[in-house]
Amino acid sequence: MYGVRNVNVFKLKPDNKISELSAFSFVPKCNINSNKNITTNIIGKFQYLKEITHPNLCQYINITKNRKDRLFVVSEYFENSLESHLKECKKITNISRIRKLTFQILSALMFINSHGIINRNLSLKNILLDFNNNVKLDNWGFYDFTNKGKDVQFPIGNPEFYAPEIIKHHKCNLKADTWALGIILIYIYIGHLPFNVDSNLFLEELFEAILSIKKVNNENDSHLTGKKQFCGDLLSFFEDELKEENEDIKIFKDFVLTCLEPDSKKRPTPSDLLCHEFVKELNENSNEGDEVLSPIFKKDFLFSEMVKDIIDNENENSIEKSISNITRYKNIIADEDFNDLELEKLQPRVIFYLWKLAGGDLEYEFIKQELISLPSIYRVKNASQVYYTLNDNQVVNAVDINNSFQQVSDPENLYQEKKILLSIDYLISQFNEYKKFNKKQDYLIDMLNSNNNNYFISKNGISQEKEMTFNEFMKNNNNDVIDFWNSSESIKNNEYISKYDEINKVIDNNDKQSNKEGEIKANVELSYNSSVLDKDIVFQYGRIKLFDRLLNQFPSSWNEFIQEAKIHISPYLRGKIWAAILGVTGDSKVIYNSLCEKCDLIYNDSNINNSNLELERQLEADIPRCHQYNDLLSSDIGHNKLKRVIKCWNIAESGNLVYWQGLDSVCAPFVALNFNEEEIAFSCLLKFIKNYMYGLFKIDNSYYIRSYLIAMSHIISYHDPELGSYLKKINLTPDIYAIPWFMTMFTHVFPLDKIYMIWDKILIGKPSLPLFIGSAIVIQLRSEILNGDFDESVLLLTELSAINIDKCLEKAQLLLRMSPKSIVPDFLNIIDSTKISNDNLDDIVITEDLDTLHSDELAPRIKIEDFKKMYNKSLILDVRNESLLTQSEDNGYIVISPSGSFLQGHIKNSISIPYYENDILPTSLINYIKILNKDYQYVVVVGEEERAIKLAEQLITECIQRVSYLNENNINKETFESWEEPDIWCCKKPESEKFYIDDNSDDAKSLDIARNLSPISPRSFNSDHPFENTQTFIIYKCQ
Amino acid sequence: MSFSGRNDAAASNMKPIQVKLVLLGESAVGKSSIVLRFVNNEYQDNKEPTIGAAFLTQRCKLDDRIIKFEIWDTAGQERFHSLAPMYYRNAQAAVIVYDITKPASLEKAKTWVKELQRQANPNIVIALVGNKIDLANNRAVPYEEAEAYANENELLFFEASAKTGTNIIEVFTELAKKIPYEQILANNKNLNSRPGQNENGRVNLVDQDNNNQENGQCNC
Repeated sequence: MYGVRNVNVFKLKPDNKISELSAFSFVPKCNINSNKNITTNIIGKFQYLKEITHPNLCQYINITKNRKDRLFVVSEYFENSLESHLKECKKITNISRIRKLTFQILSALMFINSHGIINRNLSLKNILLDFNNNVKLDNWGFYDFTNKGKDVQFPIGNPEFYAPEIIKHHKCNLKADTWALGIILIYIYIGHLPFNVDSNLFLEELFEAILSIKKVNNENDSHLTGKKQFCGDLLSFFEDELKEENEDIKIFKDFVLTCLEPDSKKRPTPSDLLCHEFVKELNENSNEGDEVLSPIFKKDFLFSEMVKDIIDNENENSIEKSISNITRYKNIIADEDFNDLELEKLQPRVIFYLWKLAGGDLEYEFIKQELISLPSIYRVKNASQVYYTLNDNQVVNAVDINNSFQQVSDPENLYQEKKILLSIDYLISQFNEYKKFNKKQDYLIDMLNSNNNNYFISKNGISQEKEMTFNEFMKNNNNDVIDFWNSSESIKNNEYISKYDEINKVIDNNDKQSNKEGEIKANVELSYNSSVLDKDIVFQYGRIKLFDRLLNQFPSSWNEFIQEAKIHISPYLRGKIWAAILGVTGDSKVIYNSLCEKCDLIYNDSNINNSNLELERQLEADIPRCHQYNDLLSSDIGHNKLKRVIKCWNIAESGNLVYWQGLDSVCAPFVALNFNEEEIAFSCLLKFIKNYMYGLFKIDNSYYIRSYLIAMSHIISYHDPELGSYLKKINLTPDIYAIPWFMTMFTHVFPLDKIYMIWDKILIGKPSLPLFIGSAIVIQLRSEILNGDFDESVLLLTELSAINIDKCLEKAQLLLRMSPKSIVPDFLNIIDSTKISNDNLDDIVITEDLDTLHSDELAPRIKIEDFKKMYNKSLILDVRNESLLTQSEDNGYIVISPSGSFLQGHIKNSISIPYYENDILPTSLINYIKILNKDYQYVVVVGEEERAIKLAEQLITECIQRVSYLNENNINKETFESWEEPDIWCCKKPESEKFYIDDNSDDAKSLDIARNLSPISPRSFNSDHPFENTQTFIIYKCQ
Repeated sequence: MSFSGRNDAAASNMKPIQVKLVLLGESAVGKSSIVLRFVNNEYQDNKEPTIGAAFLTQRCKLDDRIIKFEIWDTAGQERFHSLAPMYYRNAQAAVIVYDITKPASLEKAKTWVKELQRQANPNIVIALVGNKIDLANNRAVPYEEAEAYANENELLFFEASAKTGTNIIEVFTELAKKIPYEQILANNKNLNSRPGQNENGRVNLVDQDNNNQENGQCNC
């Protein structure tokens, strides 16, 4: 019977169950007179709908706008609808089939009602049928996200199914859907619209028909009446009932009659109807409870299969582990499993994301298809007339409708009812194209391998360094260059790199066999920056899959997870990945909800206290200015979310930390990424500020913000002395331009897409990384700054749109590794160590002493612990020598009379720098130091504070890199007693070096060193002076 | 008064007179917008809040002088108040802004006036500006009230709109007219007007560029 036909009508596609994606487009009302942006408000409202999933609803996936405020809505789609079904089979009379349809429609309606949404758009077209003929309601949120239709200039819903109250009062509630269901059920049963109306006067007669329907309730009989000329079919549907013997059909007709109650007050709701005899049985048998909210990261699997644990056994020793990791990563890269597109396992929204990565462009699809849906024009046009007439509280009048016909500007441009299908084939072919292209290289390796950057800035031919990449640095860090930040964590990092080296070799070999060199180079070039990686469909697919697995195994996958996050964070999952890194846990919803309740109590109280009132006012002023180029954050809903999250943060911090302007910007990325999960945004903000912005939001934050600013200027002059000293010369200190950098972790100076890149690194980096990012920004602008004056440089440093973030981040990480820890403020190192030891940040005590910051000094002060790591790679200049310096009047020789502490004891290999008038060394001596420095990585000045600082400053001004002052006023034997190297403190007699140097040259060849074992009298080499224009020095040097 | 780009000013042989100007006032009254209108003749809806302070310059010609405004645009939030002295110290001019639709912002402006009168350079020229007259429909501060206050305290007074540009140039022109230049020229030789540094003997870059001999002192 029906079932048999059914199979023929519906092509069951068990082998191909990829739900399709479709899009439709519309233009919201334009808003000339209002400040409110209707378009972004629709986008904001839409976000919530994306979270509503039900087996009988088409999933909403995405909304975007183009430059002309046209909106494109993407949703899940199925080809068959009740409408197309009826075209083939004319009508559906099988009651159990109708029962099933009815039940599924009702469950879907009840579900959205329970989320506060009214469909009001029920029609044959919008009831889609999936591969198993299950109902999938489409367009169910259109009325809702257009603010009950108020935000668009066309009517929503088919007039055929309008309930009387819509026509009469232009008002409706969820019961309008009940009415529409009733009409639809008659329609499918009899095979056509149950109103007999003339197509020329369609709307007028239709509305007259609908309004004429009345219900008569007698004691044991109720029935409908209405204008026979229009409602004949409708009435006869019920009249036939009397003759009907079949009990099922009787119940069905009673059900429809219950739906078609003209008085909306008496009409049941969809959930009431589920108790009607007609569907009761199905309802009772369905065991579907409400969705249970599971822990935060388990909530949704992007891939439908559960995966087995891929984490290596914890007990394996580290070598074995790293080997197994190599194999594992090789597998991930080469594994078909990771590179094969398995669309049927993917959620529709992931498919859409990939579709866009593949180059899909919604607007282009619409243009390509020249989308003007002809059949709907007339209906939409007419209906919109009626709608507007109603809107203006005018009486429905056919004449009015026709007269005002001209006023509406082409509604067909406002709303494309027809949906376009997004071609999945296109996605698959693009994916395979990319795959071919990518086979030859490995992005993960290139991430670490990359870069043509010159990390050591060479200046004036002095201290020429070879270029070094971050990767080289990491590999070398046990040889030439010291990694001051080496900890257990970075050892892991090394392991990781060796892993990639292994893979690199494998791939290299493959490459040699199969590829032209040029091609590889081109590929590597492309993959340098993360914005290219972000757009690579194959890479992203693999990363999404990987992170999906890791997140679903959270927190047991922690180590693996962090390592992967260090390589690349997939933009698609960024919100979740960040939350995981920050340690957001599943209870955040409970905590947040209770804070929200408190928040409501506080801010709705008429006796609101002053500080809360102040916050409220400040947020009123700040939120409408916070990242308003972003569609989500500029919507009303976005504003409310930002406000609520910040207020709750304020309550949670209960006065320890307070709202400073700029915190709104810090909050913005979290809200934008977790728009539907405010509690995650809140927890992220709370943890981020606590761990990454320590002290910056205290009521008195001056110590912390100044620490940042001063440390940054130290870092700049340490690594780029020319720039550092120039900035000091023109008085361009960081407090002029960098307060918003650190007060907002760069959120105030960069747009969100760049912030995401920066924070990806900050979140997995050392607490002091932001300082180095700031320094890297300044250094990136060095040539412009050095060629500009104060004004121009300030402008450069406040308008950062030209900064290359990728380069800046890589540079920052290198600067960090190459800087002694003590160059950064103490409190950041304390935070770092509490992180490593998992101690509680609340327990740490920071001495907020502004005097310890040394803002006026150019050179950083370093601590003895750092010195211990670097002393044998450092040129150590000792200024403790009280030796007198004499200059012979006749020949310009400079002679130092040896005396003082240096002779009694000094650090091994250090050099005694004599005292000069005003502590200014002559150029010759500076040049000598520059020559000596060629053998060293660092310069450390030791000795009495004032002199040492002056010398260090002079060396920096002379463009010598990495100069610091050892922050120990009295060094002596005891200072080094605990060190393992016993002979670090050297008491043997230093050797004196006599040398001549040409003032105009720093060429080592002009240096002639004569060594004498004992101090020599100045006169003894008077006659040795071989050059003109040179000066002769005697320097004491520990050999 | 005419405004010229940097090159024009440099082309003429006149040495610009630097005037340090500070903007003060409550959050979101439009301080940054006023500067943006004055410096670039632009307006931006929902201009993001200023954190800390922002520095901009504008040169203009008044009679036979070229004046270079060094403008310090400050953050409005009360918490940033502690930074303010750094910016108004040594300022020769101040623009105190309120929002004509928000009476509370005038109150805040009054406290700034008091603070400047007490702590700033005694010769500072202050202008009180009621911004947002484009929103005159929502006016909550009567013109007369603010004007009376300004007269009483010997302030220049304007109602202006950064959005439409009304009266913005006038604010700066009138300020420029009232500034005692002879004193500035005398002071410039000894004092530097940039914030954030210790007081004595800093280099004044622009002066150094233009006449190195006069401002040779450098202690770095």
